[in-house]
Amino acid sequence: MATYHALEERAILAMKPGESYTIQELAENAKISPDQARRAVEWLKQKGEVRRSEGPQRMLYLGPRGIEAQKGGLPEAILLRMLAGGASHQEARRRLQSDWGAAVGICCRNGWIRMDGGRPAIVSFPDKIPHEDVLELDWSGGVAKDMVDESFARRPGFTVERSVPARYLLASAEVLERARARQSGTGRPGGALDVEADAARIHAARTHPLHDVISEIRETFVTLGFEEIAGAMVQPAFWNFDALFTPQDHPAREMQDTYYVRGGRVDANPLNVEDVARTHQKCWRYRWDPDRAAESVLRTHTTCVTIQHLARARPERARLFSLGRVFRNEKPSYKHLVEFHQVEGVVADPTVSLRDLMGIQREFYHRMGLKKVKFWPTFFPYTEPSLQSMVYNETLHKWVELFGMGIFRPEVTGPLGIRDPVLAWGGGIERIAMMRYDMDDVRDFYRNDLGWLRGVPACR
Amino acid sequence: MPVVIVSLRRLAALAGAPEGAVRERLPFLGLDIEHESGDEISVEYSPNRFDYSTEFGIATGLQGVLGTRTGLPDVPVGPARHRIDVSEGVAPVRPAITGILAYGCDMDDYMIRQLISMQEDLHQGPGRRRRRLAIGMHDADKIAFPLEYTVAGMDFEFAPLGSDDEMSVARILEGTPQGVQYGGLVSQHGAVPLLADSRGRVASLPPIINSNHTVVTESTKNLFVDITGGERADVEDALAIMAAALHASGCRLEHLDIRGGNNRTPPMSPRQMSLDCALSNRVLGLCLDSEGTARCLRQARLGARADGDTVRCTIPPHRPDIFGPMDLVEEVALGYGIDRMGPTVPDIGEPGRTGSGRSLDMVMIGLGCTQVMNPCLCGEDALSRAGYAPEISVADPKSRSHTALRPALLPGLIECLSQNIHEPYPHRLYEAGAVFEVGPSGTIRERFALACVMAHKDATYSEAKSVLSAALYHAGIRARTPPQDAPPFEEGRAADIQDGSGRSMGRIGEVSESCRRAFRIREGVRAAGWEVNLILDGIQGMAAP
Repeated sequence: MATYHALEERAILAMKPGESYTIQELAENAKISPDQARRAVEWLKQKGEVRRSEGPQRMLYLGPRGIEAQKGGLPEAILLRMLAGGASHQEARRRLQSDWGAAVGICCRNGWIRMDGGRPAIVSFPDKIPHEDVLELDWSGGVAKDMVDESFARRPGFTVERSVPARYLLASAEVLERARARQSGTGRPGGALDVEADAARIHAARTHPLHDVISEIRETFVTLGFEEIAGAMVQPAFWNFDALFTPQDHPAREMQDTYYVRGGRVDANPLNVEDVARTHQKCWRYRWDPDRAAESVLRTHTTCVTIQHLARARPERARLFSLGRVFRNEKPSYKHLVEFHQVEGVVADPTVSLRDLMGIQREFYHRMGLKKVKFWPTFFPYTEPSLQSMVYNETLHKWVELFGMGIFRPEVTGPLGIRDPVLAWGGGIERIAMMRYDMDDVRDFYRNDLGWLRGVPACR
Repeated sequence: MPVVIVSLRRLAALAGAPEGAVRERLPFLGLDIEHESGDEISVEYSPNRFDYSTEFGIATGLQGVLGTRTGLPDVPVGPARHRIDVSEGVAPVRPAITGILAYGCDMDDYMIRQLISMQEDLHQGPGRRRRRLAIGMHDADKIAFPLEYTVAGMDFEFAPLGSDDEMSVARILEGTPQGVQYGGLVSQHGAVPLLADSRGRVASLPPIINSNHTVVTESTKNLFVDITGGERADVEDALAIMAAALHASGCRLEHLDIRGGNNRTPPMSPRQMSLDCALSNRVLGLCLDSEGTARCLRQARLGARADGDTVRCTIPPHRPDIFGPMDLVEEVALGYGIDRMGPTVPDIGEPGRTGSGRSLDMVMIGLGCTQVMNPCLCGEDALSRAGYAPEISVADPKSRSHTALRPALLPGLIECLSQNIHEPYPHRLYEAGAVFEVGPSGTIRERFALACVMAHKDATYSEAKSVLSAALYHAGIRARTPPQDAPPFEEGRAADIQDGSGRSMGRIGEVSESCRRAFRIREGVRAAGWEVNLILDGIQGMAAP
């Protein structure tokens, strides 16, 4: 028992029994796209509900010279008959004009005439002049190419070739009845749908996969008791570097690593400048320059946001996090971007230890689905002690460096008037997202390739 | 981070421990293994631990954590027999100099490579590309002491390293790669510093180049090291690091008597500092008594003696990275072993919260738009193709597609359309994010914007306006759209978006044909879109990124 897909049904209902249709006509009648009509017909053909009545084939139509020959005769026939009727070659030439050469050529090749001092003379008059019978065919609707002698089709300007699409008709009137019955909902078995047939592919609108990971990280921080704070991307060098104990001649502050902003600026808005300057001068032995601290940079980390908040609000106890874009003046590569997302959490609490921070971080990874975690010592300019966390990537079967962590150096907190130790942890988000989506080129996140955006499962 | 190449076999021999144990403990010294190839390992070390810039320094650290040798490494230096005299003329040019002699060096190719690698790392790091300090290494047997540290004019001539012919200082500054790169550090004074021996033979033109006469080769037995710079403390710190490595390599060290200016024979003496065990335990979450704390510090190769509740620490001169007690706390953690410090989980306490407001993401998705994310730093070309002028740029960008801070989201969105012409239509895209503008006083303002584009064969202004109205309805804004022509929209098919009080908050329109052509959007595909500024109205519509 035949069952129909919705497209098949629409195609059938658009056909009258016994009449044939091209795909284009069917698409117009059924109000579906030609592509859909083509698919519907293909399926119906396989089921034997529709068959091809004709085509597709190559058809010939008379060209301008063919039409002329149909009306007035073939040039070679005109020449032969005029000569046989006693006309002079000048008369024949006047009559044939530009066809003269072709007519003489054909007649000579066939041995009907010969040229005698530039004048044609009849040798023999054929019983039948080839191609005259072809012209007598009914050319009004064109003639299938294989019905026509090839030498005629090759004559310049005599024919025009066109392809004619295939036409299809219903195999029987019952097909239409079955489709109608199904449509009118009479519930007869013949009206069942082909529930296994493919449906057209559509794409769900969705958020960006990286945005989804960012949201998940934000949510995880919140469930771990952290409160979000936000800050600007263009920052004074004071908060991005000086307040974080990065000396003014440190290589990271040079233009080849940090973006210095031109065309506008932000207020330096410093705090406890004398204390910060004194600490730099004592520990790093150089003359601290307030002008360099007043320069505007694109933030190289989100720590400038958290430290500024801590310095101004001086909370006794706090769990804060800051999430956003950070910038490094690099050449982008498969593992480095000039602009990427970072998240950073800080814990201001005199009772919380480095081991607690390791625990919070392990818990964070567990909630993100990353189960194997270990820690190594490392160095960051503004934390001491400093640790690096490593997470086992189950796909690549290797340990991957993720977030860093540490306790803000007394040289950072002291000059800003923060008395208790502050623990900080954080790092790049794209790296976690790359693990989540099995990606090996971080630039892919910002290519916005719709094929990828539409294709990545959103709820995996 | 600086990288040093080490041999596992040699490290194991120096540390007195099996190769397996050495390999396993390296990361717990803070040495990150970058690459392994047979016996050779490339390790990244922290840019505050230049004592780890050679195998010898790393071996000293390994001895501690592996327990083969703990406590302060003894670096004996014999009394001075030779002298460096410093003339007054160097004071304005490059005042500080220090140096040391190392006898009985086993100078093979491997040793030379280790020393040069250390020298380069010190130049790049604390030396700030030789500005703050520069190191010269010489064959001591080619030098007739005393040396004089003085200045020379631009026409003074000698044969620099790598050349048999004498050249004037001026020619060295202009015609050698070292002169071109480092000449600017001293040449503004009209005279350059020079280190010459008692027979007038030049040893070095610091911080630029050594002389060819004192070149170090595999047949060198005795080494003279000079370090020059601006501050005595800087050059003495670097010398202590070099001295510790040379001693660990098996050399016998001897002081130099240095006189003149603010210079002196480097004391190379350890510093004393005490650590309160309570601080260490509270920060690390451990409960060690003072003896246990001292043991950890000795494993980190510091001198440490328990004294009641505190530990008296002795810090060797090659550890200038230790500023105060918190640095000692980290040494306790390293000596204890990070892998032995199990994580603990504190109470979560109060629930947290996010800073972002109501989210319009769901509304935009509901309207059939897919989110894209473009960088804030974009190429000026994409901006100008969309008819926007870049206002805020960055100095010396390394990538040409990241040169300006975006003033709007629409150019990036239209670029997305142009990158996706092979994808099935319709395209409906949105982006939410920061845009940047310069206020009247030159102050940069960051705003939060939402923008949307749609492209297909029938995309029109009306469709854009429907989507806009629906989105703004959910943000609680009733907007009007009086006509106003602006790029990237077609003349007569563009409008200003104004809030209830008539303030402009964005623009809407059909993307002009010239813009579509500039972005190579397909023939027969039309596009429309809008952008609104949500912060302007005090509404932080979406989650922040």
